[in-house]
Amino acid sequence: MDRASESVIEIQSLTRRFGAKEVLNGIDLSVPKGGVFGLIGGNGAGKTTLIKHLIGMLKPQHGSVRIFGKDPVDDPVGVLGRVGYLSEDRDLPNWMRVGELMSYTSAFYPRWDNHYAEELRNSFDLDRNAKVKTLSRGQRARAGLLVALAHRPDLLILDEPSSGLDPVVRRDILGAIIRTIADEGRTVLFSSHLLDEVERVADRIAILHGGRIQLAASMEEMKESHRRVTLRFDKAQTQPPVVSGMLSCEGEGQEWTMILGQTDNNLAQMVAASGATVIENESLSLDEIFLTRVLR
Amino acid sequence: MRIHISTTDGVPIYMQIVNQIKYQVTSGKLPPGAELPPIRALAETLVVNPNTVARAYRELQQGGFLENRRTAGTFVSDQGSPLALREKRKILSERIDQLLAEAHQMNFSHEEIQQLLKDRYDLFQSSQPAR
Amino acid sequence: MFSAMRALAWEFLKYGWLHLLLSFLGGVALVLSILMILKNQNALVLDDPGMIMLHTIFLYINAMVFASPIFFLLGNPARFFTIPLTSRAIALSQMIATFLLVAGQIVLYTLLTNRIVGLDWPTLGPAVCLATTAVTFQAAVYLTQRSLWMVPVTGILLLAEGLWFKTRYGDLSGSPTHFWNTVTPGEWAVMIAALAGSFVMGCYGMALNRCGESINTRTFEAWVLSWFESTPGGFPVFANGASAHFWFEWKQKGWLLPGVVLLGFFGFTFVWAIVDRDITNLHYAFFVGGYMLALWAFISGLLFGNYGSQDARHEIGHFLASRPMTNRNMSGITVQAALASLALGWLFWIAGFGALHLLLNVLGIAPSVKFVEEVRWWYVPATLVFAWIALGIGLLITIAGRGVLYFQLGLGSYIFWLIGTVALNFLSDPSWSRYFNAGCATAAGVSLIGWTLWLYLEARRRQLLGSQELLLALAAYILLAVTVVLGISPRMLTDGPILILGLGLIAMSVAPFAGAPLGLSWNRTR
Repeated sequence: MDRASESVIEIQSLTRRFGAKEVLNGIDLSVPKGGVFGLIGGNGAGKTTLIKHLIGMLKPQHGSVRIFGKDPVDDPVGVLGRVGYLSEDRDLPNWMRVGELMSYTSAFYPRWDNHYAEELRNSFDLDRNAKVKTLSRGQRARAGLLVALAHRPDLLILDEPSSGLDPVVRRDILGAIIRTIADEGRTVLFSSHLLDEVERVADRIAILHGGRIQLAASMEEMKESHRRVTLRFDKAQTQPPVVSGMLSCEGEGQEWTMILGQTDNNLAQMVAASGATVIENESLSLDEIFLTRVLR
Repeated sequence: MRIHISTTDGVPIYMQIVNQIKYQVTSGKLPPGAELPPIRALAETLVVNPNTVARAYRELQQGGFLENRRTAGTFVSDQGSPLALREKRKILSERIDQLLAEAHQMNFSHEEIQQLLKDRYDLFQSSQPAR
Repeated sequence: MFSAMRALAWEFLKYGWLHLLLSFLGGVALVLSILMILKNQNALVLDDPGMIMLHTIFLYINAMVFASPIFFLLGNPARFFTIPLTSRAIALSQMIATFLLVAGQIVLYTLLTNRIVGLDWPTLGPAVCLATTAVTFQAAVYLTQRSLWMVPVTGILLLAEGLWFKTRYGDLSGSPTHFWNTVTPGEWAVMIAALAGSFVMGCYGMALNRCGESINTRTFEAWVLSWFESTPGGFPVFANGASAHFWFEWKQKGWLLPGVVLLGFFGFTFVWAIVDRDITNLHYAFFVGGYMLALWAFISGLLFGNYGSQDARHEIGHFLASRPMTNRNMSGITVQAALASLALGWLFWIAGFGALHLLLNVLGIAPSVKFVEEVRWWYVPATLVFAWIALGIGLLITIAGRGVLYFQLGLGSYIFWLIGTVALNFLSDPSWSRYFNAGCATAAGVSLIGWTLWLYLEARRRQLLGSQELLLALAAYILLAVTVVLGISPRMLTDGPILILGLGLIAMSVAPFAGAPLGLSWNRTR
């Protein structure tokens, strides 16, 4: 068995409509074992809908979803017992105290590590006796993260983990993501529209837009294939120049700036043929890549 | 060892780590034989993916700046001088290329550039303490 | 100030006119239903004390049903605090709105029911009095909103005004004797004074609210609250997920029924001590109170079935949806917790009533005549069965996470029946009404039995239920049905529609065991 190609999440042709609106349209996605997978998209792109399918809260209207090779709807114990999940709204029972929350959650997971849970509780500065409803937003996110991490899940799913949180809590969350995958064989899937964070920690990215996966690749490939190139021509150009794999192009007269989306392009030939010079050839931040891809 | 990661200017993160460690080695801030933090620790400090740090370390090892002593960790290599010198020349060359490109954009002639360089150098010399 | 008031009034009416209309119609509908049934059975004797009591009770219910959405729609006054408006303006506008709406609504309601049913009930006195009571309640809430005093203060004020209202119809204890047809100047004076006092209290309370203060009794509150807190430092340890989830359900929802029973005992005793001194009446009240258990069991069932994350949401929350537990297991634990809660509440009731009964025997006091006439051997277990059926119905409504759908279904059926009854009322031949009611009862019974059957078959098909459990449920149903029909009420056998309705309701006692896992899976995976 080839370990490298073993995938933790396998989604095929997933389609979902709510009434007349088609939110997911034939999604194919494969999340390999070990590593951080970033699912990016704008607000309302369908990230939460997709994640709900992974938890078993939505049943595929078309297509299939498999986690660890199992169907989350049919086998909640087999799947959810190895998953740590933090929802976007940080849903936790408001009436419980932090200590009770830890006791309650620990009963469901045989791999719960009390030592590790205590360590997290201390570093997150959570008071055992505090009621969940009195926690601030950031503390609530930390509490949710604690119970998701303490049983050392094989798969950690975070839905918009950083939204609405201050930089200190965000650091905690990113740190938790990093520490999770530093342990062999564990996987993290998180959705976010804070792209600078995704850029820091993700190994692989998928862009969800218009109900489809616009692009799915490793972070390396993404950064290498997307470049901003500025050309200077000897003569003013009336039409924008064309290069294969070009995503956008703007400028006027002799100077034109284009964004390329793939490494396999005919830029070199085009430059040689037209006698233009390459003034700039820069890599793009993930933010810029996303905007270019989505605003086309 | 202070490394600053920025996600706004588009430079890949591993490249930023490589460049900054290279700079610190060549400028002497990281002396030969100094120990670098393990991959996992640096990843947690910088809040970046450990694979990224691993890739940076690999490149630096291939470039001869770092060496990996199996049980002990990662250290700055003692080979130092010829490598450092080459690297220093590379850094300065890049900066000079940038300067020349801009000067060309502004239509400075070769002589004008040289004169400007000499003037700035004299000014620089006079403000330096005696070596 | 007036244009601001007009703006507030416009906002309130535009947002809430539909709610108000519907709750008005709802209140009227409720009253009409009962009156229509009485009229069909020719039990409508105009000057009977029972009729007068019915009139007063209807008014109480009507005022509550209409006032609740008003308070809800007026909303949290805190949203006005950053607008340049005085606290007095905010408080007065809200209280005046309440007064006008409640009073106007009562007048309308009385005129309508008088016309349809052919009565002559008074309008002015009750309208002003109950509207004043609503305003008093509102003002008291403004004043005591954030403190523990809210319940006692509002409770006492409501009780005082409610009892004053009762004395307009007769003595404080005992049955009413006459209608409140004319309002004397003395009565006007009392009502106007109460209204003015409420306005003052309300304005003061609003001003306090704006500064974030309330009546200051911090230390007392902390002391009282400490009674309800479990000792911190001792956190439970669970052997497995099942026992953890049982604790979860019990701690969150299990306290309601036993708590209500205890509170009920104290409440009944307290009111009895004020208005009546005949202990046999208290004995009878405790006994009848066992049937009130069914109402609270229904509410408790709604609560148990609610897997939503916040009070307003019906859908299952993410936290519970991501528990590594099968639907069969999780719903089973909920049903167990509900059963345990009901059992405990019922045992509390038995204990309380039993103690009083024993006390009467020991003191040699004979129970009241009403009690001796009505009591049967099966009344006590019947309270448990009724309560369980009510709980089961409540549970099934909310556990599917589609409360709106069920509510619409229930409401639709009810409106259908009401319209039919009122319409047929105007026909000359009364037997049509009887046929209609018979038809409705039969339809209801058949659909309940059919639904229960479908629940079991579907649950079996989806393997949420074992064959043994299915057979066990069937056996239990047959046993219960036979006991009820033959042992308790052979009369039911002659009245077809009632028999069918009865069998349908009995089916609801076994329905939850299949309906709960099915409902939860419908809720959890959409």
